[in-house]
Amino acid sequence: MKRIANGRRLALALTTILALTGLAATVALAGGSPGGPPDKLVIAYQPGIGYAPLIVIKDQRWIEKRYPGTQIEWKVLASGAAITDGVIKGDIHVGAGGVGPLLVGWARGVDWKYIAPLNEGDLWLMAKDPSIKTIEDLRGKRIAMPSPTSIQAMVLRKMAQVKLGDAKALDRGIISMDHPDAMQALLSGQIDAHLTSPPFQFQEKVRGAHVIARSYTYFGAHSFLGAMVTQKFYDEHTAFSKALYQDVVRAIALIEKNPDRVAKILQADAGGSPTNRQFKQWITNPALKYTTRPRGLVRFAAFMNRIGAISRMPSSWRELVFPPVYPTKGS
Amino acid sequence: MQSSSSPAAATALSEPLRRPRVVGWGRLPAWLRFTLLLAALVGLWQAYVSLKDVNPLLFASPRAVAEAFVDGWRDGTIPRATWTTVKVLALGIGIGALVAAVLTVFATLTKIGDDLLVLLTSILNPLPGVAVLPLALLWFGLNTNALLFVIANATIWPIAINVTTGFRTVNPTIVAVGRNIGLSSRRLVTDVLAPAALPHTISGLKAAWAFGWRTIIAAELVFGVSGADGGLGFYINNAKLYLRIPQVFAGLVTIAILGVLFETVFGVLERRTVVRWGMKTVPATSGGGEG
Amino acid sequence: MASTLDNVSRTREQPANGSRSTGEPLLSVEHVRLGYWTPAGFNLAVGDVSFEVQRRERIIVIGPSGCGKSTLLKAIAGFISPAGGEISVAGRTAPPPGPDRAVVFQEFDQLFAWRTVLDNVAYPLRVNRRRRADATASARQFLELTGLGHAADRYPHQLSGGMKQRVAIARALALEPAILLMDEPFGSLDALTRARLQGELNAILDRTHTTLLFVTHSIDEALVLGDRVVVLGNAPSTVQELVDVRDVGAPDSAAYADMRRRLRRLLANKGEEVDENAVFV
Repeated sequence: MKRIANGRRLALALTTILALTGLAATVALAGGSPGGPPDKLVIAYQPGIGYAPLIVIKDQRWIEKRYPGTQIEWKVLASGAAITDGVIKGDIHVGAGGVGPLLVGWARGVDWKYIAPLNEGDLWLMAKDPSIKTIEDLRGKRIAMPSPTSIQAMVLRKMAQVKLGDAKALDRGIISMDHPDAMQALLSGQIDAHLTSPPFQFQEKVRGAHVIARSYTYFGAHSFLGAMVTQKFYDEHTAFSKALYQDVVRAIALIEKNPDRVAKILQADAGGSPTNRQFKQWITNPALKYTTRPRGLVRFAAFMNRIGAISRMPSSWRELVFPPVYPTKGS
Repeated sequence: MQSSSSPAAATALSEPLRRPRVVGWGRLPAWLRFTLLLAALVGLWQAYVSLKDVNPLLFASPRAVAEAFVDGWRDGTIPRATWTTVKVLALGIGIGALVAAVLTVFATLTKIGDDLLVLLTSILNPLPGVAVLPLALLWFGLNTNALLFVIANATIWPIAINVTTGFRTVNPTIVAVGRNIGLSSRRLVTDVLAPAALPHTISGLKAAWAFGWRTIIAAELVFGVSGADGGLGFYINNAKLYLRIPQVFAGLVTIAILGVLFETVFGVLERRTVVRWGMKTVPATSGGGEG
Repeated sequence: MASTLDNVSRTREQPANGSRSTGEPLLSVEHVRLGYWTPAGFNLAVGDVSFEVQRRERIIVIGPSGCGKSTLLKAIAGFISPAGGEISVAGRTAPPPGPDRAVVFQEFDQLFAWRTVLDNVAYPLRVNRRRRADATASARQFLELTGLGHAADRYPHQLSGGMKQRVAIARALALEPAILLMDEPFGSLDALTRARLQGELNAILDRTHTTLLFVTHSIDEALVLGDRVVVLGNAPSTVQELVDVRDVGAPDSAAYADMRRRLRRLLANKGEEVDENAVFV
């Protein structure tokens, strides 16, 4: 009797494990049909005007018009980590994010590359307290940025290495916060500094914070954001991927040619505020330059490899982008 | 009555007492049963990972986890994170216990204190510890004090409820005996009420530990203190950000081991006190060989 | 020792005779009124009770349930104060609780669960400024007296009900009280154990000469243990009669049977039905 009950229980446990295994396998396989455009497509980016080219593509419905049979979903996620997770799990097909997560993921075996870099961006280290003037003043202070693997975190370490002689000198102070929260925290004095990005650095400057350092000083002009897909996705949907690259090129051209119109698009996307003019000022600010040409990827990789954030090095910038980007002569 | 021994009765008596038949598994000692089960689970886990070709960015093999675990202990990152977490937790529970003691004394001595405790407990106890974190961050800033506040808040209430109940349910006779043998009020509290309420106090501390432990890990996951100040929750989160999945698992294993360790400490404490004194029955988990 | 202690009957000699008549009483209860507050108002349990207890005397307080006999004992112990009248012990009026009136309760849970049997007896001595070694030696002695020498290192939960009550008795006696107060200490025991403990108590008191005030609702217990019996009536109770039971002899004697009948009548007269089970213990 007892033995039978035990046996039954064991069988139940085994069945459950097998069922779960099968389920996991099924979930992993479900993606899209091989060849041609995908049946379903999820594109994810984060808040910020750095993603303006994608917002234009979304607003103009270029992809939807080209592939009417494809079900397309646009997602705005608060963190780069959420986008990384989504791409790894296969829930997100096109994910947009900074150079930091791209390189961390690439080095750890996430089979992804930039299908289209979006811009170069000068990232500013902001402080509000007038007594904090230089990087040396930041020892023991609390510095907000999106995450310890973000491009901002790598920039901070470079600054620490150059100015303080130790890349990890300011690590203790790193606080993970998304930019809108960090801006509030900086302005209300809860944190001491914020390594941020456009447009938050512009807004903070207007509201009384000052710039301590700029990323271009340490890395030269460098790529900031880009749209990533996996090698598998690129292989299966090569035509779609190439078209996506062309869409980004077209959107960037529109931003350059007609910033007023793009500002309107961005304002509508943001729900009506701030003003049109504000958006135009931001997208025309030289701290942010929209381009599909990757710059400084290898320099970033070398630095991250040196401080132990990544364990392997790309042999060339081409290893981090797909063929449509090759003609841009990046670095 | 009559000693007329029928053959049936004779055999029934002469036959040795039949032990209930146990199947092979149940006859093994408890530690072996659990070790075997654990080994089987780990084996299944390894088999799943090796046969199924799972994405190493989503799931780690036991082998990789073991390596990450050993490396983490060797290079000092896991012990440092563990120490940070345990230190903050101990301090938080200490503060919680102190506040709980004050509240309990107040509640035991006065009716208004009792009402206050009932009110505060019914409002604040159901709040998940982490829910208070945003407010704590606002009040204390992004530092350890916010964590301490959250832990203290998560631990005050279970301790206060249990100790108050313990004091209130002390058998009046034993208190009368205490007064009868000539104890002062102070010694009545320390020598009679406190030991008599010990089972409740231990339950309170156990609950506080469980709440505090869950709360601090959750809070550290949310709370972005970095670098050398990060505890286990931060360790796990950081490992995840760097996509070091075996380290994520190693962090979880550390948490599980610590959990078992603390349970064991409380178990020993209980066996040496309230179980030994017959104030609490022995939990019938690790009993011998019944099938 | 065990054989004499096992004897259920009344075997003791009569040492109290001489000392009883002389001097002031050890305990005097004068027109004491006792009650308690209920939501409905003040409820008087003891209406007007007076009696005196001499040194070395063994007084039994008996009465129907609810007559306030336990309340009276608690008042003598100092736990509650009377609503009227006066209690004085060795000349002190209304003394606070203290070891000079050591109490043995009915409940088995009157022992400190977290102390060993030995420490349950020794600890109260230490509380009363006896040195540790002295207290331990004394505790051992009284445990031997109650036949518990072998159980000194056990914890109370490892003892039977009868053993627990013996520890409580040893603890109370070790304090060398002026008067030992016992509140139905054998009330929760089975009949056999109860009879044995009654015999043992008699034998021990014969040795220690302790003054006793014992509350019970069992007539047999009163007859086996007492010198005099205070019979209380229904609440609010008064003293129905003070009966001298010193000379009733063994339970099988005619005098014992007469006295038993007399007490039953006294209790039954008050309209309260007498608990037959209790009486025939």
